[in-house]
Amino acid sequence: LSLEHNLAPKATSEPQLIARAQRGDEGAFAALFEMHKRRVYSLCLRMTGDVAEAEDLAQEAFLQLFRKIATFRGESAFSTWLHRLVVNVVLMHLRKKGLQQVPLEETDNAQEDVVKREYGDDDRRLLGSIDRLTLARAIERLPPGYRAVFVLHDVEGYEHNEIAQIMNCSVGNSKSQLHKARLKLREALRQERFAAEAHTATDKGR
Amino acid sequence: MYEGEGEATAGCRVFDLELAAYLEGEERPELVAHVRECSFCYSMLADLEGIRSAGSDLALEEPPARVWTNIRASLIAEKIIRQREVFWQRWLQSWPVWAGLHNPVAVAALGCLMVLGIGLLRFPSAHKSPPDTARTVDLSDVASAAAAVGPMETSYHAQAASFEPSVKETYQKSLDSLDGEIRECLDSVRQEPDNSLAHEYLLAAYQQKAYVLQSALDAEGR
Repeated sequence: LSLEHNLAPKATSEPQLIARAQRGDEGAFAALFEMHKRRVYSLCLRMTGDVAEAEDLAQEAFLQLFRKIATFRGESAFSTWLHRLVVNVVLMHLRKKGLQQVPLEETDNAQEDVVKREYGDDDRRLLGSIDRLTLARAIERLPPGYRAVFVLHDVEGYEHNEIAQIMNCSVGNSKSQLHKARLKLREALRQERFAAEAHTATDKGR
Repeated sequence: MYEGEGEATAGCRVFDLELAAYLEGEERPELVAHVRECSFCYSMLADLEGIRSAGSDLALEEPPARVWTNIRASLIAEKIIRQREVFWQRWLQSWPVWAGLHNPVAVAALGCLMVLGIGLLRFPSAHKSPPDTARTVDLSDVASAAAAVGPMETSYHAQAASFEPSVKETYQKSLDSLDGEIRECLDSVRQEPDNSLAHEYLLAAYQQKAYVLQSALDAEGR
């Protein structure tokens, strides 16, 4: 049977689906998964930069959610509850993996937060609109600490005080990480652009 | 062009220091004034604002179907999803207490299984010896069962008019099948009075009919 076959009627609201899921209704679980799967999976993917890990983490996050759904009383928005849970699952995973989560204090005074100035470029600015695919790839290549803060703030819309709480750091560190992440992304996008232009020039020269 | 024609100016250094705060929404008049004059810093600011904006507008990715498949399997294994029992599971669960059956579907299925069983096995001919395990059925047992069914059938027909059409149809199909088997068993008994298996099947068919009728009367009487 297709997943759609199991779905609740479209008119069913999220609170109704939650109530049905609390009674063990498979269709309600499937519908809740359908409603949130893309955002959850994308968050996992962006924070890990790895497809296989993102699948496992999305799966784990939904399982944790559904195991706890009987305790959901609706004090907060369901999506807020879910996304906080996803972030916790991902961060826990990153910590277990022992990834070099960028030690915020160590990089505070590093050269990375200084604007890199390469005078002499004829066209220093990125071309108007930023290609989303290229940006997504550049995010995947960021160091984990930068990536996490950038995704939480600029992609998911968390505030710095929330990120500080989630990542157990200060608000200032969160802001600093974010700024460095943006500078690194800009540099990565510029490199991509220069590489693409060089490739085009080579093709034309043939 | 940027100030200083190739070198960072004092304005550029202020820009560097204040850029992060400005992007966080804080007011920085000096920075704003500087980017009006410095193309390098203007480009930098435009790029970073573009990155911030693009970040919130990234396309969402679709997870592979196996993610739900795995989640579903785990939820079933952990009994978080309560699966509806399929018919045969209900039927098996009701088997030890089938005399108290109230579900017309289960009753109908029992009837069908009975009919199918009788149809598949058929009666051995009188020339063959009955199996050793066959219990000898006394004709008086058959007569008692038939006598018990009579009044129940009368009550059933009296009440059937008030049954839900679909329920009535289900019971009736089951009863019709059993009546057909009873007729066949009676023919066999008449032709081969010593065929003990035919007696046994006849008794079982009457008993089954009694269960079906009792189930119908109990269900509709509640």
